[in-house]
Amino acid sequence: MEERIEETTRGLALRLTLNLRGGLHARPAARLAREAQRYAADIQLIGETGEVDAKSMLDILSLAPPCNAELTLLAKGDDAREALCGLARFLTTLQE
Amino acid sequence: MARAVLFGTPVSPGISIGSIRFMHDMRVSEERRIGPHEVETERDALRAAAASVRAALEKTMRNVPEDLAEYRDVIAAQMELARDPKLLDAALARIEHKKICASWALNHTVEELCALFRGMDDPYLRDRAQDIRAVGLRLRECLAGAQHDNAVSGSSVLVAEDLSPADVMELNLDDVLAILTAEGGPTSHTAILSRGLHIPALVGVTGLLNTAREDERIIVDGLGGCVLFGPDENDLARYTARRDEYTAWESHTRRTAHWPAEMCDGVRVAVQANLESLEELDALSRCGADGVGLYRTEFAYLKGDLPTEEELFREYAAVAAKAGSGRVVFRTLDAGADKMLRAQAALKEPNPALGLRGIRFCLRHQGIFRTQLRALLRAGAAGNLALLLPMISGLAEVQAVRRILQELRQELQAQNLPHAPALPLGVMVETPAAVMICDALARECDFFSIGTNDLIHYLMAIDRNNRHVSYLHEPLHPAVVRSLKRVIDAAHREGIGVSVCGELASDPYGLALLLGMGVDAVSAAPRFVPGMKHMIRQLDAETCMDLAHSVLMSTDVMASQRMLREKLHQFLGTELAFHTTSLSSHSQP
Repeated sequence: MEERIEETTRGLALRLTLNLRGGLHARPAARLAREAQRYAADIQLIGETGEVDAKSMLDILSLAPPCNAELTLLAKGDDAREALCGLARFLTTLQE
Repeated sequence: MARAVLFGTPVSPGISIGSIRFMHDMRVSEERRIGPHEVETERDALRAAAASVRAALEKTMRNVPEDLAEYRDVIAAQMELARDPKLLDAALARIEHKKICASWALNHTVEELCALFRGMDDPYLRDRAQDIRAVGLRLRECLAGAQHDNAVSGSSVLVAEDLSPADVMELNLDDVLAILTAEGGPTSHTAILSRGLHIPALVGVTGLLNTAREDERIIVDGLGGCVLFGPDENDLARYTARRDEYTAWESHTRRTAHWPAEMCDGVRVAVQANLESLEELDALSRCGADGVGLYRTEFAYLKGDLPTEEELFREYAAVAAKAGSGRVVFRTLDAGADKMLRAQAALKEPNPALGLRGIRFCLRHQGIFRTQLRALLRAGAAGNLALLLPMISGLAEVQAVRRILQELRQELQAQNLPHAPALPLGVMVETPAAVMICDALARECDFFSIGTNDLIHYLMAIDRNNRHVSYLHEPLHPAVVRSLKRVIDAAHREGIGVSVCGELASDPYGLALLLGMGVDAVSAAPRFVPGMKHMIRQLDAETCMDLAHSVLMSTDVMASQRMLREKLHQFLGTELAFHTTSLSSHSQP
């Protein structure tokens, strides 16, 4: 996981594929937002339809990433690296 | 006000006369401009409101009973909304920029978000507007200083735009006479709640919020599906009589629920209950059912991890023990179509209803299936239980299961675990293929159970989720009627019993038809059982046979309906309207 994190001008980025039946609907979106709020870093979720605040359930919902969507997590701040690893792991547990 | 009638979808039967009480505070909230020095006070008020709404929701969530796990998810999502930056930060920023009070800023933000979500293409996301509105309402009430006080004064009719699970959990429903909502459908929380409490309810009442006024006296007709505003003396007298008649009928059917379902000429049928969890078994003795005709086993599989043999064994043994001497028919795992396991979801079938579901899935994933069968065989050591195989379309499937059962028994024997030597093995008749070969199937198994809902879908080749073809869901279609007759006759020729466990069994027209064809048992949700038994006692087998004969001869659905209605009216009189029916309501294409 760690090695796939790239440094960009806007902060650290991690590309991943969402593998969640039905996409990110209310329940997983709520859990993802709650998880993101544990980190101080600014975290963005970038999908095909736009870029949203990963700490907002409504934002995540309105991105409506479908199953198998290619997503990028972008984090900026002191704990950006931990945030990316933590959220990527969290998304994997959601899939199970 | 003037007399007016509104219509809705009846989801719980009964008649009530009472005064309107709104669930949510519908008063216009404060809209005030503020000075720069007030900005922080208002922002603090909003933050405090959000915190207390979250605390209240968390408290509510703890009170959600185990079997309503889906409520917990909805409430958890609402808690998350109550701290969502998009909602909260936007409202906080608005207070500062626009210099307006907290509730005004909140209203703007909620409206904006709702509009955004309502405009989305995805129907699931469109529905999320409801959650945003529900949270908005709570925040607004909290800002206005209103206590969430649901101590209803006197007997009243509860009116709401919609009830969210959190509302439902917090309500004190002791004095609620009826529930009306502007939104929602037959599977809404309102529907499930009101049926459980025996309160009449209508959902999706068009124009409800524009018409209803607090404290106004109205009549709710949960049998006919209408609400009468501004009733006159005549209406009141008529409905009071009708209400008393219904209440008397209802309490009579409940009182006599334990009497046997014996027709006037002495023919008896078993009336059983359809259940899906251990908790529901409490309802079994109350409703007077002769055992469990269909125990759905999917519930244990929907919790994430696959259940272990021990977990399943404990559940099945407890169910069998609670059912006492009554037999429990366990339908083996019927994942598919609407309830899917992860292994199935991974297949991404374009049409799961025609895919790897029921027995097909179980024979493909034998590890899952064997675990369940072992648990059932072990539970059968002490309990009176039978196995029912779903989605059978050929003899080979039944034979394969028999072989597996044989192997498992030997395994259990070797491990010295107590188990049933043999369990009655039944087949669900729900595919056209099973209907065509029912004579051969009847020789291969111990009983039939007809699942009318799926059988109708597969016979008529309609997708249950496609409302464009829902008009073809016609239980009196000659194809359906002839299939029922064919299956029942084949079973009786081979000397095995037939039960019917679909919706048709609890429908008065369907029940009369099935009785006329000589069905041995009918199985339905517990709430229907007392009424069904009462109805059976008013009929005689001879008349039902004639009636079934006429319906079998008819190729005209409308004519069949008319015949059934006239005959049943003759026997049941005005009581006919007290039974829940889906027939004759959607006969036009």
